[in-house]
Amino acid sequence: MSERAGECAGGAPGGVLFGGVAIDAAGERVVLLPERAAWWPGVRTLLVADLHLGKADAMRAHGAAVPTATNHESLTRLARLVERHAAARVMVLGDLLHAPLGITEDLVESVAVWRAGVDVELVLVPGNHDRKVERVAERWGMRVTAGVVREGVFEFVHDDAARAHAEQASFVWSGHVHPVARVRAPGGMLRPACFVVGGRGCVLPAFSLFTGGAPVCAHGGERLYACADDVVIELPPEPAKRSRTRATNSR
Amino acid sequence: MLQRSELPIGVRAVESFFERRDWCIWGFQQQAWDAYAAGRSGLVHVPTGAGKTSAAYMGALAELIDEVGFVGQDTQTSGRGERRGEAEKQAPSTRGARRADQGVGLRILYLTPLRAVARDIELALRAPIDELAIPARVESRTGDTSASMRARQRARLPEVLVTTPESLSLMLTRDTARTLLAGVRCVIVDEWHELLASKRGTQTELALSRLRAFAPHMRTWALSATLANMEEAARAAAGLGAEPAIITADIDRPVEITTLTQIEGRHLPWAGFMGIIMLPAVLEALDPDRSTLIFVNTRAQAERWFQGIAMSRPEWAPIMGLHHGSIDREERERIEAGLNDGSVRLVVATSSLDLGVDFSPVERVFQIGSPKGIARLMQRAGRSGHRPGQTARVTCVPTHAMELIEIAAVRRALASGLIEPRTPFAEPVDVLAQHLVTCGMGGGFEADEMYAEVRTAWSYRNLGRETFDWTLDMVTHGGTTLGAYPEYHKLERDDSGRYAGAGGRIAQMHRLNVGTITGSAVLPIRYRNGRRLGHIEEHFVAQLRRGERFVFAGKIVEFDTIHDMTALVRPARGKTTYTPHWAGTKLPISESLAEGVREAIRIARRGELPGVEGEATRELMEAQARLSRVPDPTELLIELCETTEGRHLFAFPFDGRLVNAGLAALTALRLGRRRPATFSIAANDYGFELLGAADYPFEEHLDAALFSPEGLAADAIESVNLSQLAKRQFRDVARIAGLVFQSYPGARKTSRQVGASSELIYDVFEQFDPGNLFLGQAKREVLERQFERTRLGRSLARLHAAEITVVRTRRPTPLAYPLIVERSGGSVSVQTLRQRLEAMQREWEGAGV
Repeated sequence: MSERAGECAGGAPGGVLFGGVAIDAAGERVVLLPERAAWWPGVRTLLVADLHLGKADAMRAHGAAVPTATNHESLTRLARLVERHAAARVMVLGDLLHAPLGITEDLVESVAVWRAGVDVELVLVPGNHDRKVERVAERWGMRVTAGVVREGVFEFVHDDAARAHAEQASFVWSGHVHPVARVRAPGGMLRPACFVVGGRGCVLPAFSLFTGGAPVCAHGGERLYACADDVVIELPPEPAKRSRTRATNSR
Repeated sequence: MLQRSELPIGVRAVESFFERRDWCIWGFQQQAWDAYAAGRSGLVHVPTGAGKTSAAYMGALAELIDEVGFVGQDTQTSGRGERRGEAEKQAPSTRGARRADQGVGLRILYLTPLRAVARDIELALRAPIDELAIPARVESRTGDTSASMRARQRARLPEVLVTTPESLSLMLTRDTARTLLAGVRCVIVDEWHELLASKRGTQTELALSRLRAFAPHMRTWALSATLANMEEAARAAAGLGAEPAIITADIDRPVEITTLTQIEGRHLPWAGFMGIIMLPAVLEALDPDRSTLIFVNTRAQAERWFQGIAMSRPEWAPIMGLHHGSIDREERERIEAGLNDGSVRLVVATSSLDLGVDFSPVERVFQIGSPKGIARLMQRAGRSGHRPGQTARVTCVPTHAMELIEIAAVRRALASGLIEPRTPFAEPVDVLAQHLVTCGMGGGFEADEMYAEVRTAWSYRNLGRETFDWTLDMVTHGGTTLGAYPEYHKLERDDSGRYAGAGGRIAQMHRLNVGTITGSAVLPIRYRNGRRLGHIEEHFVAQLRRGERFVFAGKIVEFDTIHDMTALVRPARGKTTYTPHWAGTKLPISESLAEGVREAIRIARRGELPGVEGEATRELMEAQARLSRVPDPTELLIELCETTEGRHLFAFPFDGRLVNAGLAALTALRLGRRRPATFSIAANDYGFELLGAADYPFEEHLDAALFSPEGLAADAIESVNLSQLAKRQFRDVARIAGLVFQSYPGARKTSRQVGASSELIYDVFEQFDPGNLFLGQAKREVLERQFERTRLGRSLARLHAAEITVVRTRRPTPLAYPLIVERSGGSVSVQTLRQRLEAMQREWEGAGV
């Protein structure tokens, strides 16, 4: 069940959903936003995953000339979301950082400055790329959890597939996958970043623009919600949008 | 006329060498030697097999003999050089003795684009040295050179060195470069017509400009065949400031073309590419006792044809060979040797056999599919009956009906002596960046001096100081723009203003990267038991599943796995015709030939096309006239057609695949402006197709303004942005410029990962550093190379003046059909992601999903 942007209280296009789509997650209302974040109004929490801050810095350390402006873009987008929704808390579901090599003084400084201007509680559920995050946790005023976080019917984790299944009742929010939908359209395949929502939980798209993505299909009762510039569009279930299966050795 | 004894000993020695071999000295060779002796650089432009190498080499060799003397077999012809080494050099007992410490250092540098033939060239160059017992060494230096040889060469180079442009650049990264290379007197550049129009050619130009700084009296002699712009080619080789001699010979061979059109009871299809339908006719024409080369246009085609012939004539297997760029080098050498000694008599080959040391003339040459260029056909025909003057014969085998027109056009072009020019890249920034780092590492430089030096290279003669400074800044401290890159320093500037290479890991990575201009994403492929098959493109292997069978190097193999950056396969039984695809090997028809095709159509339209081709195309022309019309060169024919795929627009400018693709993207952009849409694009040498949604009203917008040259530059750039081509091109630029690395020491990255990185970097540059010159270069290259922008401009001007004829057809016509089959040209979209997804959404809702 979901509300589309426009069909909401307020009347203005987008209204309080800001182009996003609200879903029912085990009884809780959560809004999937086109900025690649999820908004949980009940506790005023923004959920994001896979920022990979410092990826550009790590690449530069290897000699590749890429601007570090990507870090700035991510942080700015996040700050805008915090302000727009008057969030009280930001939960990062893993891979806030990219690599220890990317934790440059420059990066630490810019995040610290950003942090000072953003009045929220910052919580990190660490992911596989978050090695050495304790170096910066204090400077960034960030609480790093020991592992899975449970709050009511929700569970928060970085990589859902990498662990044994927990209680059935939980709705699991996770990242790690960097899901990208594949939509066959005239003119070629479209590959928007997307949320994967099913009975079990929801996988967030990568918040960072500077990462690759993994193509996903919706299995079982899952639905994909694509981030399309400034709106979220729910994609129909298979087979209507199923991408062409790869040709096999029938030649 | 000088008496023999008055001639310099070098010349006497060379002449005696020729005499002993019973070779006559051609006029052009004498001219080249005289020009060389007079201190000039030059270009030798004569057909293959006529003695180009001797023309360039012997002059330099004579000079070397003057310096070091020779012993020779006959004491009358021996002589003391100006520079006498130890007395034992003269004693017959030490004939041919060469000790590393007695050498004079490098005097003659021979550059070849093919490392595979370096050894053969080495042997050829060594022959007179051995025979005349000249105290000089000949060695080669390529990626295949052993470590011990390399170590020796680091201390002292031989007098004659055969190497590749990449290896030369690598030598320039050593701080001993100036010492080792300062004595070079002559550089010979082989196959210059091939190198010239590529980035490797630009790299060569820059390397030579550096060499000239080390050895100011160096002369450059380029060897070339078949090109139209000899003057430019000569200057590009010799650098600015030289007046190169252009040596040609009036020994052009007439070329005779036979066309096969017989297929039992069937007609040539309207579309096609592999051409296997012609296999029976070709088999009929083949004679296993007469050495034959079958040229095809792509590697996949080579595999298919080889397999087709081998399966139909298994008894020919022992004398057959398959030769293309991805076949293991040893196998290729075996085939070349076999052609020489007659043990291999039937070879299916791609352009991999276009270059290289002359092998024995073959008796017959076949060309499957259009040669796509006049020069190429001449070159391939020239492989038959190698003696200069003898008629070169080639049998052309069309793979689809329209190719008959192309073949007819080639005939006419040959008759009128028309040939294509080869144009170098214009000041590519990525090659310059790589070169600056190379020079920094190899002794260092000062900015002003280097700027002047680089400008002596033909392709950089108009290089602006701003561009030079931007590039130098980029490699020194990551540039001056807003997005500064402090860690990206490959060069360091000291207090005196001198630039030198940053050492350590950066230097190591640069050296690894220097050879990557030719690099494409290939993996070695071998059997599990270790036997090598060749190289295969990574993107093909990446999508294979374990156990999938395919054909490679003429064998049926089964994919096993990728291990340690190598594709492992097992021999497989059973049949399959699944052939790997290699990206980017389809050449477009040349501009000269395209014009010939338009002419040929005009004549065919009147039913007056002569010969076999005229006969065989009559039916095609009639069908085209019936379903639509046969276009006249003064009109632009546009066909509109509806199928289950949507609405098609076909247009036929006949401008070659690349320009047609540019026209397609441009038209899509302009149509999209009038009414937002997304089109799939296809293009071939004859025309292009736009495929739009079922309700797109093409006919409302087909007017002269659509093809107006006004705003072409801006529109072309925008269409490039929108068509994703710049991103693909940027991949190469990023690699050459050292923004990404093909392989890190100690971390083997597949190029797919590298590809992903360059794509991301592209996006980041677009968004955060749009003035970045590497980005600009990628776009420019797409415009200039892929869309051939100036050619595009000329084409557009022609179309603008042409009368537009619109025909609604009920089904695709003979001209349109090949485009439908071709559809791999990507798309152009004027819509945002949101618009496109919403459009899909409406479709899903309409379908009740």
